[in-house]
Amino acid sequence: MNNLTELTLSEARDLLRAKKISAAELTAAFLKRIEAKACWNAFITVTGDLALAQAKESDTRLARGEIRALEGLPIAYKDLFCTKGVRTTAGSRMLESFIPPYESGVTQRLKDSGAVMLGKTNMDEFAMGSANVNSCFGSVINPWKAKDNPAQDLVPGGSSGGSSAAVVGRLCLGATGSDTGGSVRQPAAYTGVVGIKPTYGRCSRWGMVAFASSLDQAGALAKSVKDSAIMLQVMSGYDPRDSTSANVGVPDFEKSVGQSIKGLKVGLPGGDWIDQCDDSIKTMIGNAAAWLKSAGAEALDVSMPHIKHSLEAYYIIAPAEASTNLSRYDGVRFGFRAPAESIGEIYQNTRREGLGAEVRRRILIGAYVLSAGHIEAYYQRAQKVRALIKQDFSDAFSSTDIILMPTAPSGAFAIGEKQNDPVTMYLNDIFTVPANIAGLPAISIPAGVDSRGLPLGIQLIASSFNEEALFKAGCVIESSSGFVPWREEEATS
Amino acid sequence: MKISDQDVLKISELAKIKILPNEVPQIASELEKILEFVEQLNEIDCSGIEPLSTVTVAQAYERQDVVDDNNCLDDIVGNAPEQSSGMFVVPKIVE
Repeated sequence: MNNLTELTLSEARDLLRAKKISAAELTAAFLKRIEAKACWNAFITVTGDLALAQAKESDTRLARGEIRALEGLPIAYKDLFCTKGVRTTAGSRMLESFIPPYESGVTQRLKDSGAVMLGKTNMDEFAMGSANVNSCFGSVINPWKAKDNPAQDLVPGGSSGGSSAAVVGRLCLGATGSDTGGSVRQPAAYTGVVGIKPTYGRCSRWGMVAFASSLDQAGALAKSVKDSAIMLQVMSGYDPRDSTSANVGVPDFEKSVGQSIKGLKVGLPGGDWIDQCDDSIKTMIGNAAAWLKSAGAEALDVSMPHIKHSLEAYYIIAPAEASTNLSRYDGVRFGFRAPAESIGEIYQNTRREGLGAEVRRRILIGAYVLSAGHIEAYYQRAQKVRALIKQDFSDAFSSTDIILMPTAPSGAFAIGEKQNDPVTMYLNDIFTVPANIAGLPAISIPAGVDSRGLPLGIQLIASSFNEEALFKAGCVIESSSGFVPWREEEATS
Repeated sequence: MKISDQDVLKISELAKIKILPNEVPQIASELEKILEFVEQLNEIDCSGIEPLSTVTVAQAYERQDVVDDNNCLDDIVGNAPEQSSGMFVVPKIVE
């Protein structure tokens, strides 16, 4: 069969089970394409031999009828999920040669469901970034090109930029990501794929390299809403090793796919922060509301006066938590160590040389907002605003089932743009951060293009543990939008 | 908030990140921009609001204090930048 890499996860699953294709040939096709597309820099580590061995085992199981949920399906893991015996770097020089002695909760579940690991995807260092330009392994290139400047390299979004580029570029059937302030949804929007961040506590954080623990949550990037539901199903579930893991049942997410949304109430938060978006984004929001209404949903305006301040609260809370989490990188027990004469110098030099500029900046901000004399004015105030934002959502969900917003304020931009000052880059996350602040599930679905022909995402946010509403409504947007997925340009020579 | 050179040196010490004297003004200016951005929170009336530190629904519990992962000393110490006889090595700390 030709073009195995063009298949969706669910199509590949059906073909494997019908014995029309083998896991070994499917895996080999992806490994070949990963090699051919090394120029995108989507992977930090490719685990070819391991993948082929896993595929062989899956083929044996498929032949015997011992079929697990993701049997023989090749996927990729963001390089902050610890994988036992396989280097896990978090995109940092600090962990350049770190070999985890244990497996993360999420990747263990994927492994146990028969998924084949193709490798570890590139990312912004310690998941801090919105463009995947902060990796010590270099920037990732978005396979999309703008129609007005096809020679220009664009960012794939961040921080899960390697995962988003790998999924849209057909280097894997799906990929894991992590989402602290939009790091699954924003890259999904920039590359025209689906990205889901579930409710805080739905997926185990055990073995995920920590950034900001009260906000971090695993997520999935996939070619379709259905594929994202299939992946999240396997990734979800209680894990006693993560003290914030929710001991709640996991519904059959795939069942939600294609279900009616008749009577679903869709909230539209207005305000100047949305009015300031590009026209193409405002048009897309209007279209999305109309598609959902045509499918039987009701749309209504909701007042959420505090959520536009989410980004400001985030840039206090996330750096504060990062500054404490990243204190573990001291050059003593694991990771990089800079040469020094005393223990004090080891700490100071190791962290200067082992961490990149953006990570160091956020640690410094965190240290500042937590320091004596400033903690009340900054950190505690941000926590109070966090309470107000969570209340805004609770109030909105008393009359609605989902909230409809853009995923990002623009389409993908060029590598090197928005790097003059940190705040300009931070503003890319303005619409994604609220769901992290409130711990809510949210999905990004490709639903339009900007004036340069680049993909734009619609974001849907639901109440806690109501991912099913996102999959139902997401399918309606997916089937109504007429969005044309990324296509490989024919060779022009 | 105005960030002075002294502030930068102080947080550099708190965060244990070495900063060279010629880098201080640039870092001060970046941090000032970020703080100026987050200070928009001052517009919000937060009186009477309790700070929210987590959105977890999980209840804290006491785990069993038992060994559940044996014989991985070499894997763990193997990640250290310097080791000897199963121990982490650092420069002499106590005189």
